[in-house]
Amino acid sequence: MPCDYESLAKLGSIMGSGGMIVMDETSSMVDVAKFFMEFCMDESCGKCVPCRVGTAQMHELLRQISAGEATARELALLEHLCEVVKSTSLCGLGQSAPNPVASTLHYFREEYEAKIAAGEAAAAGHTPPAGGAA
Amino acid sequence: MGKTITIDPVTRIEGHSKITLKLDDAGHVSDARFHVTQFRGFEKFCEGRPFYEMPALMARICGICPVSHLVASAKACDAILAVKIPETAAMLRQVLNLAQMIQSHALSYFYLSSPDLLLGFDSDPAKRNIFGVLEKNPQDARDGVRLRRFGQQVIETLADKRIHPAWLVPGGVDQALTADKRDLVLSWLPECYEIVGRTLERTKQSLEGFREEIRTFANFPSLFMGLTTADDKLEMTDGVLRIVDANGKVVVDNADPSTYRELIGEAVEPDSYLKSPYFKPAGYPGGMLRVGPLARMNVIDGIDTPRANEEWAEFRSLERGAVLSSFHYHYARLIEILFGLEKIDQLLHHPAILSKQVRAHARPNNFEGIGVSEAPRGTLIHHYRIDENGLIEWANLIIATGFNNLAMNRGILQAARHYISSQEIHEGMLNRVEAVIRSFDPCLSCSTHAVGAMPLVVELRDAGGRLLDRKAR
Amino acid sequence: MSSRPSAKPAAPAPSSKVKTLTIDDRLVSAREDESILDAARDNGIQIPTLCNLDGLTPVGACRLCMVEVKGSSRLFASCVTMVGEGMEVVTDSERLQKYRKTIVELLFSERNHVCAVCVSNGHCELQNLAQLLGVTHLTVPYLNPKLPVDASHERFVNDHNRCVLCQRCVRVCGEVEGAHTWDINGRGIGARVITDLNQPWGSSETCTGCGKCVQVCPTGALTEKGKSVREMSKRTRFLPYLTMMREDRSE
Ligand code: SF4
Ligand code: SF4
Repeated sequence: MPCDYESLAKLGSIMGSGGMIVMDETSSMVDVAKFFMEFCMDESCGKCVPCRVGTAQMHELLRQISAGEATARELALLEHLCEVVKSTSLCGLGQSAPNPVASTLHYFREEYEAKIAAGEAAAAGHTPPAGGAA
Repeated sequence: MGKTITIDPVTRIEGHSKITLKLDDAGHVSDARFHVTQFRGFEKFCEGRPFYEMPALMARICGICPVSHLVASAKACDAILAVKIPETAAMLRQVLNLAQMIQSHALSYFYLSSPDLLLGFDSDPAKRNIFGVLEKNPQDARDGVRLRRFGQQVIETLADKRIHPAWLVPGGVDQALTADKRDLVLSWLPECYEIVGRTLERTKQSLEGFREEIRTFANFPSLFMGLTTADDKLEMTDGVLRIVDANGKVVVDNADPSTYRELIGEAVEPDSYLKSPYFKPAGYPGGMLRVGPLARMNVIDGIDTPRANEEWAEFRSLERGAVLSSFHYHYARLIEILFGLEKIDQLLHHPAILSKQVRAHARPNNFEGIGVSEAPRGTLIHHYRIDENGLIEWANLIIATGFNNLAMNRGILQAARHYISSQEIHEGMLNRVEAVIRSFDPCLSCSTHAVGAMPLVVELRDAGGRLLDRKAR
Repeated sequence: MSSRPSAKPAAPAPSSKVKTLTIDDRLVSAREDESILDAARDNGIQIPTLCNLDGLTPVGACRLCMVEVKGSSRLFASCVTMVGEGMEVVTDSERLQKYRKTIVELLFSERNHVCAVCVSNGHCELQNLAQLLGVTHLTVPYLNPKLPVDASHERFVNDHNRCVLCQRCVRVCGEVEGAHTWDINGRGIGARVITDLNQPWGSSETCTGCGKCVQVCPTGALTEKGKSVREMSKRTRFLPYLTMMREDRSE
């Protein structure tokens, strides 16, 4: 893969620190997204509402999903917040904060869905099927 | 092998409570407990809030008697401001508090207890509710609805809002009364007088038929407490504390309510979140108190409205000392409704009632404030401490249902011993045990099954906790 | 014509040109130094705002006034976007309504708003927005932060539980009163308004006690001491006149 602005942009990433990270297939993509969201949440200056509160909310939703506490409702909410924060934030930080979530959702949706299945099973009162969580 | 019967209104979430009856090996009731697991942490919740927000916050404690908490809270705030509120404001607060009392008593008497009183304790539980009453005694059901609406309408008219009115504020009330509103309220009174009149007559005539219940519904000696006017007449909103014993002898008189800590101790039972206050000088649990309508009838020397005063004299002639049976809470409630109507009538005819001077303004002048009033169910105490900026540092509330806690427990034990043995458990028996609690009208949602029967689960357990039988209704 | 006296020159400079654009399919004209928001309001088109206030420099912080401009996939905060020739602006698309609703929800979730016991109940701009946009319940979880109340000032109270970080207090204090007592401390979700160098308001050396911040605060965050539930209504109309008078005098 060529490492230039255009190619990275096509993949939904950016040229800059943290724009490309190498990891092996055992990393949970939900946790990766959560990690980036924590970064954005901490770096948000707090001036505009969508970035200030939206990143905190998305971080909490990712935590819930990762911990197997979330259902399809939380996932839908996360996707909605991605859209709002991306479209309405004041500066580049907020506008790009949802990208890691959006791209992991695009390429590794099944990892999210496995966590959601575990969460729904827990919510319904039974234990998740073995290997249900990624 | 001992057994435990649990009466548990399962479907109520707030104000969750249950009654547990323990049977000994011979099948006799050995212990009875009324557990209240309702504790909403309001005292903690208000820490750090500005004190002047307290009335509105406190009115959220209870959906049934928000006005009572408003009154007590506003009075505690007056004490923090160290103001004497304008006379008109004091009168308007009284009107509001009386209206609240009328609507609450109407709910208790007509909606909750009249099914037992009119249809009978053993009548079909499916019909033993306000609709059953409507079918058999339509006049009584309509009367109840009308009286309750009167109370609500007065609150709405004065405070512009039926539930949780924010009209009472530290220092007074936030809006004067207008002539139209006064005349509107006055126009409703004649009909209400008639309703109370006929209900009182019928109730007095029916007492004969409830001799067994009168004898066994929490009928025992105890102390009684309530506010009175300076000349020992019935008082709901301001006044001084009085305590009498079972013989009707005055134990404490003219006590400044802000000295309540010298009179009242608070015990917490491990199986209930409800505090059990008691008369301190007599110790715990010997200092068992009763508060509320029955207690108020017992502590006073008379009522300063003519018709209610006559009824009171007749009521007190039931017994030589204090009236001891908690069954008579119902009767006392009706007398208080009559008093409420007459008093509202009096107050609204007062020449100063329309004065625009209804609020005293001040900064906090005390770090501590105590507000005491009579809620429909009995004496209510709010006690706050603030920091130098006016934020609440500490709060203590003693609610009427708490004061009656010890007596309610004793009362269900008495009734359960009389009506229940493990050999045969009839629904009507359990209903009587429950009705003891209902006569106190505790401020819990379990006592507010306005429609249909109280959802109940009765469990029979052996000494090892094994479920033997379970009935739900 | 704009009635909004701004920090920028108020009287139309002779060089200022008039632009023609459409807002919600209506042909309107506006001075080139006018924002889309002002142009819309001058023509009776209402766009919801929270941080914006007539007489204060716009900051574009609340993001409620976002509008669509034909030809761009981006959204623009109309309070800080100037009009342009031939612009086609949409102020109330379904997408915008959806985003605005979410933003209001985010604000409610961020702090602890219990309207029923709030002094500003019934006179609150956040509440009005919720009503206007049909926010009846939250789809996002409450964050339930533990926040202090600063009641150290003799006459005013700052309740962080109800602050929306609109910065109106910061701006009015700095731009109009000239005291610059208020500031924002911390960042992101941890941002808080502070007085002086995060001292209790009551011990502030710079605060003149003028109360402008209290009057412009859109919610029950800054209030007068001793007000009961529903009793705190704010007066913001003083601001445009005050700014206008000052500009007149400096001429
Ligand atoms: S500030 Fe406004 S939204 Fe917040 S609690 Fe008060 S009234 Fe409600
Ligand atoms: S205190 Fe009021 S004016 Fe200041 S930022 Fe918070 S909400 Fe805005």
